[in-house]
Amino acid sequence: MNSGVFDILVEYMNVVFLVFSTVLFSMFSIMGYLSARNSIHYRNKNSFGDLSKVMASPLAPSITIIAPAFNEGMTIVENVRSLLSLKYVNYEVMVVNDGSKDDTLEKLIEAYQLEKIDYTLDPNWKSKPVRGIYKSNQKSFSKLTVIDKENGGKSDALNTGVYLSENRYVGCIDVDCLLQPDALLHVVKSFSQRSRKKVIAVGGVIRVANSCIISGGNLEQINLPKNWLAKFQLLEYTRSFLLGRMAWGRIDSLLIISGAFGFFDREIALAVGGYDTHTVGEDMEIVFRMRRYMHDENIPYTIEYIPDPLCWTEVPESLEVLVKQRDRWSRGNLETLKKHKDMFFNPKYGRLGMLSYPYWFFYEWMSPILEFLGFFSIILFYFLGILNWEFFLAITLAIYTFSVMFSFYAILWDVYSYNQYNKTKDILTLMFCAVVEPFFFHPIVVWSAIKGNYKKLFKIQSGWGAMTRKGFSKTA
Amino acid sequence: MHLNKFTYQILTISGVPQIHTNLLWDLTFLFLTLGALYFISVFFFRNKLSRLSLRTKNKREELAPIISNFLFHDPEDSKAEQKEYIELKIEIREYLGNQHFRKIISQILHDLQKDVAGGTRERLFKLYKELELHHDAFQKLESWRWETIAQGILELSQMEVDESYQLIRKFINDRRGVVRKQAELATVGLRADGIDYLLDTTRHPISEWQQLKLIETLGKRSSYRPPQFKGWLLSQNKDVVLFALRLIKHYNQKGAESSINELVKHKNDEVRIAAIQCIVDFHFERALPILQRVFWNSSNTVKISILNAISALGLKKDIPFLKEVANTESSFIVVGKAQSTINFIAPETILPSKDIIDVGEARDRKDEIVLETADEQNSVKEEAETPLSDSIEVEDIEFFDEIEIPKPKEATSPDAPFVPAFELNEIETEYGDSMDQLLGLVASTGEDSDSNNLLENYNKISSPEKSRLVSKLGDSGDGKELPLLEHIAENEADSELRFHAFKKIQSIQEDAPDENDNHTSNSFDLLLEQQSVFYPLYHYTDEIDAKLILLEELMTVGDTRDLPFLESLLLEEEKIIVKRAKKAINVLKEKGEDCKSELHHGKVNEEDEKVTENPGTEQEVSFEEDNRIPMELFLLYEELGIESSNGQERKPSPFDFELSEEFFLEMKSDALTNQKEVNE
Repeated sequence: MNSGVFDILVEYMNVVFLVFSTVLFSMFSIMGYLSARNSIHYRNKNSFGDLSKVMASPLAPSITIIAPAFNEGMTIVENVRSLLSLKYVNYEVMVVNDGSKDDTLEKLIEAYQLEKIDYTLDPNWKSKPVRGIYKSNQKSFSKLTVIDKENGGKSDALNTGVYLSENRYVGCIDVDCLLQPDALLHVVKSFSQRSRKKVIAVGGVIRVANSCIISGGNLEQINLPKNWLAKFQLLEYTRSFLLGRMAWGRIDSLLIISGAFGFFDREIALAVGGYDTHTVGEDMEIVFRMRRYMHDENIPYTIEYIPDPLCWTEVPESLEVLVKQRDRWSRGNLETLKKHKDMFFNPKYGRLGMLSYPYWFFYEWMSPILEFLGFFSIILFYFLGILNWEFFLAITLAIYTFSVMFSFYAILWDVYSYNQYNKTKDILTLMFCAVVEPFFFHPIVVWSAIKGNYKKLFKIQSGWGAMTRKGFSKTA
Repeated sequence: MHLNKFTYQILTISGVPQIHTNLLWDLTFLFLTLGALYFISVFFFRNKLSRLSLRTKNKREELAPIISNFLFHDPEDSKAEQKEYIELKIEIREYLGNQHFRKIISQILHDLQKDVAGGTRERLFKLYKELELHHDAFQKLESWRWETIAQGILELSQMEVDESYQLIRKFINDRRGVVRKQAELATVGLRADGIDYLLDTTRHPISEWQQLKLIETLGKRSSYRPPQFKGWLLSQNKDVVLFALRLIKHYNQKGAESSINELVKHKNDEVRIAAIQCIVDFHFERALPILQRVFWNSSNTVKISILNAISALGLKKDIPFLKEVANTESSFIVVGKAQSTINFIAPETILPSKDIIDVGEARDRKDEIVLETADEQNSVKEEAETPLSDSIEVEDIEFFDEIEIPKPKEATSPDAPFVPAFELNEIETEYGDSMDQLLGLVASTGEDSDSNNLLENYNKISSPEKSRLVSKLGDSGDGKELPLLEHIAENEADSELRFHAFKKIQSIQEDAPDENDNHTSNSFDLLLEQQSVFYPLYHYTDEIDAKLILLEELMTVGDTRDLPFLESLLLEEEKIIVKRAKKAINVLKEKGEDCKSELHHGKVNEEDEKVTENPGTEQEVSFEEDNRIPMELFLLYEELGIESSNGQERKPSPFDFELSEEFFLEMKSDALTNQKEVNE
């Protein structure tokens, strides 16, 4: 009897895996279609006019770029210089020194001839105390504001920046990111081109800058990363940003804006209380909250997504840093989903509740857990001698070929849209990565997610983890 | 056994779905095929794109010199060149049958039109039409694809094909956004009255980005005379109203005060804010009561805009309203803005209260005095710095006996600053100030520290705030802001601000009562001297040539108020200056004006008239005389980017308009010294 029941349970398990995989195939196929449509639409729509004409217009909306800095003394001066050289007339660069223990502030003061100014802060505003606000006495650096505050984490630093900014839009970026000179023009255009809906946030593609050559704050030469971990991440980013987010953007259901390049309507960001300081997934959480706020207030809104490569960043090249990063992402994901669990299949939130949230729940949070369990089940079934080899091979191969096919599709769109890695060797390398990724890189990602979930489940204290960067390659 | 079988049967009945493994194999095969297809497609598209790009590049390189030849062709060229020109034209016409060629040549011309201007641009447009490329664009307008139509509209508008206007403007209310927006831009770009048509007929929203682009397009029109946009403030389309407000602001059309004031009550915040900005820019002070009325029913964003407007336009009579806002509003930002506005209108009305240490007994003792002399809040700050104050007995201050004590309710209100209900006479003021210093209620270096604070604050604020600050500076008339104004006039990068600061300095100097009023009989003379607008201009430069030119100007435009200044010049070491000054005095006198200065100054020294001058110098000086302008005008011209009014090309001015650091410091002392010397 026992054997019979067990067999049936195993059969049901097979069915569950099959359904899960089938839905996954379907969703990814639809995403591929939607992203392709959105890419073409975006390209056609933006092939007219010249952005730079508006660049110097005194009527151009104002925007603040907030860059939190913690122990960035090595690169801060150069990074800020790059931010100050963007092509836009009406913007401010606000560096928030989040209680750095190194000489970040001193270097900024020295390099940009900063002087402390008076300020008034709302005593009710919840953030770590601000020790001082600095402005440069040089006209050429008048766009720069430096806020020195006690350490409170990235979210706290961003909140302080959002609060102290006086501009309509605020951009939250990583200080070591490299923004393309016309990045702000694209962002402002996205914010102000709609008239029927309020654009509450604008997100964009993050590109991998490892091994690229940077000169004077400009991207001089785009190279494929030399490090294999970085190569895998490049492929992963291409898939995620060019296909995934593009597709969600098409149906206005984007639930995440990357923390490295995210812009918000300041009024709405303040109305929802800014970033949540109790989560490590603050970039995703604030988007959830802003969307909920707009739904609750019944104001027509949208979130824009820019597929143009405007922001370049270094990705981890060491396994340890990568695992820590992904561990944090998983925790942030879980925290956000838990906090907004009432949205799960809640028709009140429309597509957000009925589509985005469930997708995020099943395929971003649950998927690695199922994969992990599936892996051990197979080993267990093998030793128990009940492994259905035919089914196992068929479904494994189907999933594998689908993943490779989907990666190839992403590479195809990258070539078709931006053609940045157009050397035969680079394309073949990326394709090779796609073929071997499920065996080498993907298990690392799954393991990191399990680790993150485990930590969260058993309340093991863990913060952000240090992200060590080598710094961009510079031309001689 | 039976049980097992039974259980199995039951569970079988309940149904485990049969998985067709073959389906999975089929899927695997499908994905493999698709993967292979994508693999090939990647290289196919990569090669196609590279080939296309290379081909276009080569073709462009080949065509670029031909097009240059067309554009820069001159009918007066040699016969050989004319022949070559005609051959090229024939050759290019043959190629025009090729669609790819037409596309490339069209692209080249479109790229070129961004870089050329004037006659070349006109020839380029002509060439575009001669090659009949505009027919391709017209064809695009008939396409069912929105991107093709938009491309066609763009091409026609960029190449200024005027006959396309009627066709394009039909798309203004197209349901497809990109087509509509492109049509709007083209309509505005093609004809001067396009903007009228657009504002009259559009039924769709106009996004902020589109408005920026439309204003940019209008800005490109040469000798454009904008219509009066106030007519569209009545539009039913909210975006048209908003756009009209922006255009009114952009083109500085001040004739719609009542309409703009009314729009402050609009239900849409964007319209309200745009109207408030117009009010600030056009200094519509009559709007202040309306702004105060609508304040209470506005969002925080609008409230802050209103407070900014009051900060720019408000007077002391608006302070009660601001205090009410500061006391009743719940939003910290709004309260903070109201407080800073109060301080902006009446500096130091509200002082820091947070973390101020209670200084105990000393404070209690002096409160009695403070009440009668100055702001009670002011005293708290200043007494902490004065150890001297403890040694002074209140009984010693006899002159306070005559002072009318204000009503207690006014003095005890913590929010309301003390407003004395009396006026001290000059002696009392002077004596009082001395006592204040002695008591430490006003630090002896108070003026310096105030100036430093002002300077510090000034350096921290943004340009618009600076502009507002400068407009407010000097209103108190006590000259406390003079160092800051001098600093602005010397160091400010913005020439408009420098100019305003300079005007304020002048105004303060003119208005300021003479420090020596009670001590010297010559104070009136000094005042007269300072009333001459030429006085500061004269001191801006050390160059004699420039000074002489200025005196020449003075002869033309000066009046009797300049006589004291001219007479002070008679003591100059430079003989030529003395002579020119005498000449100017005579000219002004001859104008028949009443010369007050004669009452105070000696007559022109006859001997000085005999002083010889180098005639060559005068000739050299007068050489550029007509090309020179007063500094105020110079600053205005610099700001507005216009040439001098006589239409001649302005030659490098010999004036050194950079104010030396010592200038303002020395200005007063020099004037006094000169005056004393004159009197002696």
